[in-house]
Amino acid sequence: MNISYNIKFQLELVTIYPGEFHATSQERIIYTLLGSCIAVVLYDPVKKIGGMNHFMLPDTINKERFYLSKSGKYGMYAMELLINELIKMGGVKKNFQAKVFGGGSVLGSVGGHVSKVPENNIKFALAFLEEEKIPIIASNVGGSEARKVYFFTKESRILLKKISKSQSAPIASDESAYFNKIRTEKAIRKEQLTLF
Amino acid sequence: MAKKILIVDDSSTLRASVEFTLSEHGHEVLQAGDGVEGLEVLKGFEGKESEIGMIIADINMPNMDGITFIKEVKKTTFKFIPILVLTTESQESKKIEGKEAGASGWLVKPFKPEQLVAVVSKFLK
Repeated sequence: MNISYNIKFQLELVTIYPGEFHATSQERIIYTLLGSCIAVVLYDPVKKIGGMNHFMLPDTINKERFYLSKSGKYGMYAMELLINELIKMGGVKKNFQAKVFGGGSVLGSVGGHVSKVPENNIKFALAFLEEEKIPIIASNVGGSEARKVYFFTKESRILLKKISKSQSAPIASDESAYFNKIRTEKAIRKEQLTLF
Repeated sequence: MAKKILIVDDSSTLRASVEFTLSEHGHEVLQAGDGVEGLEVLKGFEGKESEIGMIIADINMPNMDGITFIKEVKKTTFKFIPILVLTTESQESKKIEGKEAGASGWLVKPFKPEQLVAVVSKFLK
């Protein structure tokens, strides 16, 4: 995560990278650059707080029972971190509205695994939000382009810029590294059990 | 008769995942979406407390959070039932809060199904 100041909008701009999330009650811009990854924006219009995550599933999922697979659990974990942060800030889950972005086919095929990544990411995000009864009020997913997503937290406004495939090579390379990391579970913190 | 396990978590997908994992191992699972609902489910077992073998509770939940829920359970006739906290929170200070509230264990998500099954077996002994 990186925080800078955006002169054009005169706001703090928080950049999040694969595997990260940010939530705030302040007026800010949360920005991320997406290739095959998914970013889910959650916003509580009553409390006026919002956040965004950026994640990818390490493997395929079954749409109906996604929560049974290791991959689905990783996605649930990414979503729960954001949901919990908003709840801690006073957010009310039943007020949450979601916006979903990403899942562009910008990664090449690596061992036949990566090609289904965008599709799986989209499938998971939609299935998860439906199951958790969080309405999706806007989305821009799929296709072959990468996306720059700017989330203006005060009014829950999105500014989306698409990047052509020819300019997506650096994103694809970053995402491949992230993909390999989560495939080997390195991004997942080791489980911890404490008995009192 | 196999004892029942109550899972208290605001995420319906997490509850479904826990229920599937535990029912595969022969456990009967009851579900509640937050602390308030959890206490209501327990109320239905007043007088037959021994039917509940253990409680699994999340920490960050709407209406009533996990720590408050544990403290409330400890004021009832269900106070001897072991409570396992299942949460994304891994901070030591949070764990201490859980311990002081009366939890018996703390498992940080994302968890491996086999680990959950092992802890449950240990608690139900």
